[in-house]
Amino acid sequence: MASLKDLRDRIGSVKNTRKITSAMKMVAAAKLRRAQDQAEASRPYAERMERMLNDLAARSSSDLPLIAGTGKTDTHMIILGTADRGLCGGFNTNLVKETRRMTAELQSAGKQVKIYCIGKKGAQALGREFGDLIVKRVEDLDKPALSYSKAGAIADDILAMFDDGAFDAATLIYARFQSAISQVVTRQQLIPFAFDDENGGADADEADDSAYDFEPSEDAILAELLPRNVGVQVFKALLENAASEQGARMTAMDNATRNAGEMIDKLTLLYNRSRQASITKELIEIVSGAEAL
Amino acid sequence: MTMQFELVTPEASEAQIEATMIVVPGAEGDMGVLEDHAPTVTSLRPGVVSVSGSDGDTGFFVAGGFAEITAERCVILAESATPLSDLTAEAAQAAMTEAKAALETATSEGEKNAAERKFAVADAMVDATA
Repeated sequence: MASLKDLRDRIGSVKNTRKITSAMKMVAAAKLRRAQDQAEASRPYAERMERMLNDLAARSSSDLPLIAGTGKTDTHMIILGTADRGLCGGFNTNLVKETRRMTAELQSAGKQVKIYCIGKKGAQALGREFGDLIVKRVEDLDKPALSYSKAGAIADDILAMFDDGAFDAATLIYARFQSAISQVVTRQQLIPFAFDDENGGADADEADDSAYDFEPSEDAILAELLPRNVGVQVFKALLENAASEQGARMTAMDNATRNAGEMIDKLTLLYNRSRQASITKELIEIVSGAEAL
Repeated sequence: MTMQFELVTPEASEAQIEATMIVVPGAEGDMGVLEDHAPTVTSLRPGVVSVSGSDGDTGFFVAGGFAEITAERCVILAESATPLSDLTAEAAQAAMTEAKAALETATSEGEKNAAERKFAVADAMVDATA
């Protein structure tokens, strides 16, 4: 059995762990707040752009590759967004698992897969298995802060690969933020542009009402809008991911803090019991020693 | 006789102003927008959006984007926007030098296009501060 000193040390170390996890939880909560604000601020732009794009795509019969595809679906690019750090519960694992599943699906359908890793953790987890499929690794986007220009640079990179014919379709995998406890792993088709069929009917009505003039022309605007939309979508996914990461970390650290508390209670009980046992033992020894005289 | 002017970027909503007139740097030429304008969508070239409102004139430098104009609203979607008062001639010159350097070192088709875009933005920036 552990000695009293061992128990005392053990309690001390668990207490320290609890301090760390509760501090991490607090930091995550503050960061979550900031990430949510940032996501909120980016929404008007994304919404307007999407509305304009759906409107245009519904009227235009353009055959741009970004909207009509390349005519084949041989090579698929998976763009995976993960965190740069761990200690955030199942966040990274879930994203990586989804990527593995999708890769397996595509490979069994006889397609080629390429993976674009955003975030250290995804590249680490997939490196051993799919190292040769990973075409690019991007890290430390949130240092010092996530910005649109960084997302835009990634989008330009992806579009340049698309123009070179490196892939035919692209899908984004990220975690959509629902609440601090729930983040939904989402696949989103990025290239070719998938316009909202659900709102298709409503859009057609709107289009009749609005009847915009287009300068220079519908197709020219569409050709400019589509690449920018890729940037916006990537930015949106990264913001959602950032909020999800902090939410997941907050929940994970909250659990860890609670578990540490429980452990401290148990250990303290054990410590008091064994202290009492040793006192009783000593008393018995003294009493029986005195009786023997 | 006012209309609502909005300038949004991916990171924030930069400005919301009650405006009497807005001049937009459209892809095919500058465009003055008053109330009751015909609904128009236009792409923008890099340049200055100037807004006249009840509390004077304000200008924003945008590096391209789109404008959505209806009878009562004018919404500008720009990837980046800077108030003209924050834009200095030195910054414009610095952007110009950088763009020129990028243009010289560009090798691939994609790099060249990116450098040319950068150059156009820097050129407009220099014009705006001149």
